[in-house]
Amino acid sequence: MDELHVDSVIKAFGTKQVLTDVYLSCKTGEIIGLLGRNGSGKSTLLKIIFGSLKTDTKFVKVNRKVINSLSDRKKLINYLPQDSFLPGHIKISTIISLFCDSENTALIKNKVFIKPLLNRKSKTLSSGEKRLVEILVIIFSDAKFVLIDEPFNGIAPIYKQEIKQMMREQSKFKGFIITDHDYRNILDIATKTILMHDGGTREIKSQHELISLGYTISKT
Amino acid sequence: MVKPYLNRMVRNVRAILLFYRRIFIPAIFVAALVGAFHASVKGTPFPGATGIVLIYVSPLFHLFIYDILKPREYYFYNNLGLSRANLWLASILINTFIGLLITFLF
Repeated sequence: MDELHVDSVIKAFGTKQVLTDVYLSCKTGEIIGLLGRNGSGKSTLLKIIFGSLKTDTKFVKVNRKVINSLSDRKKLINYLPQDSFLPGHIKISTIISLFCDSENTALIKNKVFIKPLLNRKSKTLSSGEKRLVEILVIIFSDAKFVLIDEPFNGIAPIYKQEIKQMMREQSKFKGFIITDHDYRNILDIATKTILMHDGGTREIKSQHELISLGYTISKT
Repeated sequence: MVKPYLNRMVRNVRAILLFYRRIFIPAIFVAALVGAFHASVKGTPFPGATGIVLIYVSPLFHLFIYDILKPREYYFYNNLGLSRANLWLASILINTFIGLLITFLF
């Protein structure tokens, strides 16, 4: 079993301290749901773990390998940012084959909702279609840990359930850390829920804790 | 043991070429225009001028297209294990190779 270990993450933007000595760990088979109010540092933490955002202090390792540079993360950590990152000039079929091994490439290409997109370039897709492709290639990529920032934005409800199911299946082989503004999506899929609160992390055991910590006001 | 390494290498080369393709088309067009102008004014052979101009113009297109217009696309390549520094180095090497090839071969 593989383990992603993150600690000592401290980050400030100007005078605002966003993260204060954050600790987080994720093992193969786990789907860690990250919740937090706007500006609580969820996306910042994911970017720091991925290495696209520099910080004063951090310690990230996968198993015994300490991760310092982006090239250390190769095949270990992948990241789906909030906004679309697909280059517009590349065909969807090429994108899928770049990210996934032959088995997963075939699996994605056979999805009913992906087939019609295969020969199109990403720039011709709607933002929802792009998001769908991005989520699939990241979920099925060959990384051991996948960081996913608000994947369900712009995704039709019918696909949300399917994406969640695919994540559950893929979590047999990898670990996921996922954020979403709709906490119901997180509670539905996460094996462990973490609330970003006052710059730190706190494990949530029940929905009632979310109310008492001021994250939500009702159990809708 | 060798096959996964080779697959990864092929994948990286494909990704770099896809990255570079977007820079090359506008860069060679501008380089050819400037090269033609330079050749007509100074009497330098046209391919020679174009090749040299390409070496200088391509990094500007790299900067403009990826660092200014579409910085989010770096995430795509980052996820494939290619850092921004890797991509800059690769595009400078390819520019120089193609630029010198055009200059000395034609």
